[in-house]
Amino acid sequence: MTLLQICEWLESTRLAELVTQSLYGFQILVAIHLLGLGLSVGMVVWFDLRLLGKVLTATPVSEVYRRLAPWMMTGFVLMFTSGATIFVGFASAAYSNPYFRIKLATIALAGLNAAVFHFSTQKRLAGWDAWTHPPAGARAAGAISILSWIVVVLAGRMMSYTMF
Amino acid sequence: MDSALAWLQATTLAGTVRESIGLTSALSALHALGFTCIMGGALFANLGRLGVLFPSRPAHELVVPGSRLIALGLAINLPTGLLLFAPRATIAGHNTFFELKMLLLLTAAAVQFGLLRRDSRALGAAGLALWLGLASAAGAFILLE
Repeated sequence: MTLLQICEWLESTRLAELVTQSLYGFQILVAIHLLGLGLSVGMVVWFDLRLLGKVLTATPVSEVYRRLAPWMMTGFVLMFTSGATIFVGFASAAYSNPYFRIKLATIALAGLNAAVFHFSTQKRLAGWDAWTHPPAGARAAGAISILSWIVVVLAGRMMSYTMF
Repeated sequence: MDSALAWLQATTLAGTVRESIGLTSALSALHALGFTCIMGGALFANLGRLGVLFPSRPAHELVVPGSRLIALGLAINLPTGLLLFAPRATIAGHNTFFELKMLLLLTAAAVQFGLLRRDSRALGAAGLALWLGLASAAGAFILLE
């Protein structure tokens, strides 16, 4: 089964019908997606800015993460579940859309960046947790994260103008 | 008011945006980026005022950078919003959700920047309600227009 065939199958499901045919289903999902975007990316940026040594410099990096994580995670759950549900309704069109591919690739890059930070840079966190300006690896992770999410937001909006 | 909206819609700039799907989508993408900045700044600043995010830190450590991110978002969204509004000014200008959006924008900005140095939980709650109300009105304008 090819990816396109999987997309076509997704579009034939009851969930896809609910997304595309119900009176306000699509609108409600987009609203949840936007709320999730504001909450997730809107909060991630503050952790990234702390890694860059631009805000909350008197607060340890680990505490900044601990305080922001519940908000970021809630936002990501809202954004990814609503995004996946919208995708089911328009899977074939999304599959062939270049902005959708850019968006997915950049989300993967942001995820990879977070994983590298978690499994490598963060392991030595105790040594620099309270530093005003974290080490180069941490600053690079913060900068890559901000740039990645900017691209995700831009590509996401461009998608909606080139898909329907 | 109606003649001003009609004039705006008839300008060359409005026509250029109306005729170009590429320009419209690029403006809309930048508008979404501005929206994310505003929401991120508003949540950070006002949850900070409420003492929810970093209760051990002085609120101004969150309010000042949060307000700067809101200002950046507004700097992106005011010109992009005007350019997106111009091609459909006569219809959008009379939309209830758009009017509500503008009213909430002015009020939220006045509270956020007019009372920048004042720290109180009530101000945080009011700021949060106004910015979230603005986001809801903006969403309703786009989705239900």
